[in-house]
Amino acid sequence: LSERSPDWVTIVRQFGPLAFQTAWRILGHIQDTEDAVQDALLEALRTYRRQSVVNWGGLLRTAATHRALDRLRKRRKLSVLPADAPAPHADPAGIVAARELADWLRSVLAELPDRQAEVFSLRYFAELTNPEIGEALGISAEAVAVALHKARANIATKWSVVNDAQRNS
Amino acid sequence: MMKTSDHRTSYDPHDPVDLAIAAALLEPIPCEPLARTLKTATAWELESAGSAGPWWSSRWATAAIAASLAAAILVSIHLVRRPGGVDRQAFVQHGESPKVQSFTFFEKFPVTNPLVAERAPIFVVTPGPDQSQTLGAEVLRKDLRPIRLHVWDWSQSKRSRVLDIPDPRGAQTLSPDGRWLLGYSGRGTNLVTAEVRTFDGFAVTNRQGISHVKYSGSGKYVAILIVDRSDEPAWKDPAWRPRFFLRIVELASGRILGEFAAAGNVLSAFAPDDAYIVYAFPAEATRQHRVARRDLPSLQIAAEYTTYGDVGNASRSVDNSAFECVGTACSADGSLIAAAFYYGEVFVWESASSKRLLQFRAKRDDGTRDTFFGAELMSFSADGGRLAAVAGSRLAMIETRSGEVTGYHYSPSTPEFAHVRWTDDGRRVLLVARSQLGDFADDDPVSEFLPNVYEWDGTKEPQPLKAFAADD
Repeated sequence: LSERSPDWVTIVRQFGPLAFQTAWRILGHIQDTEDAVQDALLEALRTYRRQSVVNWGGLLRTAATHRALDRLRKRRKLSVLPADAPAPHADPAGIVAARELADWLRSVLAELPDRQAEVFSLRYFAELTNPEIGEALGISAEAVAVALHKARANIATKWSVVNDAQRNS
Repeated sequence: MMKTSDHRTSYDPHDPVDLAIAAALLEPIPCEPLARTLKTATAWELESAGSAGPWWSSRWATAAIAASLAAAILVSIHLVRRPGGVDRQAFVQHGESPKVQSFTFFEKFPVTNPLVAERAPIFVVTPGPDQSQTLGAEVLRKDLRPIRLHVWDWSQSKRSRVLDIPDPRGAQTLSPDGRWLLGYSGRGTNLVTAEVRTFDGFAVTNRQGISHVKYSGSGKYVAILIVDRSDEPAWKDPAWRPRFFLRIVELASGRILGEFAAAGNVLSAFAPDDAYIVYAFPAEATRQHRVARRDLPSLQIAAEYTTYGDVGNASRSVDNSAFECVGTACSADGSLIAAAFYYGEVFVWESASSKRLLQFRAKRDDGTRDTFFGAELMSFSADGGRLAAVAGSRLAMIETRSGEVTGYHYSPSTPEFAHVRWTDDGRRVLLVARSQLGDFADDDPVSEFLPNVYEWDGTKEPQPLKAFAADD
């Protein structure tokens, strides 16, 4: 390990919350989030013992995103899209509606092609920039932008399909 | 649309995608679980440092060698790296690639997934390419036209027999003897005679759907799991969930024996002699899943089985997931019943007395709980003495009386399994692996690996079955 590498406890305290926040946004479920983050941290610990890392935050958020998406896909839960989008206000009814909306997004995320789900999560939940995502995945920032566009289009399509079906039923 | 600058600052209230993202970001981070996770992770390194002298001494020796190697690699990388290229090592300064594992691809829906006949050495893959195929072979998706049905008899050969029957498409199940391919609409295709027949008892309303169909051991009955949305409120109610119920149908006559509430996403289990059916259902007050047995054909409740009482782990669950039954099984003589739950617990009871014999809690090699072990597949050995439990690619062999774990396996490289059964001598289990995706072009899979049959004795990792009578 190089001298400027922080110790493990510092890494966990400094970047663990970022990884947890990312996984939580993807999963919205405490137990699953804990498991995904523990797996991500274990991967990071192995890396820590083996080599130097220049961007622990990026590494941990990417690992947490992967593990969280794995968990999300494994759930196989049904989720029904609400007919119209509620504005996520801070009042109790708005919070409940927002929760439902977030759950719907998660269920749709689990159905996206893997690269799209990965890029979408890293962009919006892990809050990485396109170049950072490109670095993490070994692809160009342009490819990230394309995948992100496709992901948003797919999600919007799923929204429209179910909304139309509900209107017609 | 969301701004694509480095940080989100606003969202478009007319864009449903932005609204959904904003909704997910609004949810407060649960502080206690976060603190618990960080505390656990910070302890790992401290435990290693305090407990393993030789590990540290060898570590420094390794580090010295690694430092020399790393310096050499750095120089090499510096020399060969081209400006403008993508640095695939991303966050890592030097040395190996970051080792962030790729996805496990749980849900990419290969089109060649297996259906397995429960009581015959046979399984069907639908669809498949035009020519006979070997178990586990890689096929190109472009070759999956025209769609043909393939049948493997794994007691004989690893090569498939291609049927001259058009693929019926849609969700299907296979009869225990492997003769009938039954669609969820009630349309059955005889794989021997090519006869097509429509069975009665499958009709549902336009607010209902068939989630799963399962044959009884003799093939006399089917259990149809139906999802019912007829009471869905016009106004959004976040607490609302669709109801599930089981319908039991006598296939020959099409007579519906009865319907009763059941848990969604759980496969029921018939006793091998069709004496009863075991299933999970949500309790009225708590919605926690409970396990019960109903006699056939009366469908009278014969017994209920106690699962969680004062089990502490339940307090960690915020949505009853800990109480979510994911699988059920019966022993060959019907005397034992097993049920598996979402977070890795397996219960075994005596069916007649309802006495609980076992509460197994899956653990990883390092002794921590394996909360991924939701055993959807279970199988008792012929004498009921052992239980094989399978959760995706995780496997366990458990002594049903003592609870001793005689075998446990998990590796990310192990395929996921769709079927488990014991060999006649009770020493090994046979496992049918799901199809797996092969290469990708952009985001689209261009090939997939056909299912394969593995054997596992509980000691090493499962190995592909090699001995086939006709091939020898």
